Amino acid sequence: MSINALLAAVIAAASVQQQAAEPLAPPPAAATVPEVLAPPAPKLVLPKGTMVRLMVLKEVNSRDNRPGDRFVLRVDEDVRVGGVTVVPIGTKAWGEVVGVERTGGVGKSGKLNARLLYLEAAGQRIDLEGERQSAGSGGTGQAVAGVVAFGLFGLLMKGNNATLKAGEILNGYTLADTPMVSPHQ
Amino acid sequence: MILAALALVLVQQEQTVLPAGTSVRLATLAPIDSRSVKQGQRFALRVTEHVTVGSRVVIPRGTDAVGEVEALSGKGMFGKAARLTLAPLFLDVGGQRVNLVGTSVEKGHDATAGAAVTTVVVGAFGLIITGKSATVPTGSILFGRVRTDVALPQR
Repeated sequence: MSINALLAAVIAAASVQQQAAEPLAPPPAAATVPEVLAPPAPKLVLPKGTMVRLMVLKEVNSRDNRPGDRFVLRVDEDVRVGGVTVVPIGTKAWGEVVGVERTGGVGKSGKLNARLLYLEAAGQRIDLEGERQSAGSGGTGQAVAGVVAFGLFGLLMKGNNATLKAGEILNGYTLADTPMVSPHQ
Repeated sequence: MILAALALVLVQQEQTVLPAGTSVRLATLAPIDSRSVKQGQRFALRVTEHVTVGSRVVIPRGTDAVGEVEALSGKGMFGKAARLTLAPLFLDVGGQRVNLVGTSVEKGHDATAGAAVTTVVVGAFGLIITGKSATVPTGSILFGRVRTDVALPQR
């Protein structure tokens, strides 16, 4: 396409828009239907793969949680599309515990496997993906050393529980293109 | 407004798809120490090598990028070392956000063997020997991979 043709097309589009903005000639056929007069809601699309920064609100760990448990997260950073905030800070999101390995008595560390489910913005669910494997720190060697050196105190150590601490940051990614209604209406 | 529309059309005409999985070599711009960072904290990175698609440079060397402290385990008792997991997050090029994946783990040295030279703190339970903190010096290399296909303007 040549530049001239392109310019012509753009100018034509602009003038069409100007005409549309003039309320001089209401469409005769639709004049009786009031909804037609309202401007169409500007649609924004939150593209697939957009990063969403999330914060864990309540600790999830390999001791108290079971597979299937849901936990709540909070959006920690505005998600914007073309300068417009479509998912504000503070929006709730949900995750799920997928697998748990309990802490063993001999110093086996606990394991926790969790995934993100979705966030709830403007009355719709936006599916998220993102996984995190959190292994508890504390190997067999150290716990044994602890038992030897500290007696009772060492026995209580066991292996550590795997945790997603409150305040911990996880990143989720949107799973599909999602049309969003602009909040500025 | 016309200019913006024109620019948009031009950008859409000349774009290259940066495929998912493309490797991006990054370097840290400041030291990162397990004692002073928090989980979730972001840090600056810079692209160290041109990223090309065919013969086109789509991400030039020197492009700024952002990484994150993905996990952090503090120095433990009994000489356990700190562990720092860093992940490249994203970079912006030509007005486009490119999300990255990848992790790099830095471990401090365990201090069980040479307890004499490590930090010794007198705590509530008596003597607590701690391991070394983990430090990632300036200029450390991280590798990121492009997370999803991204359409980028040609350069």
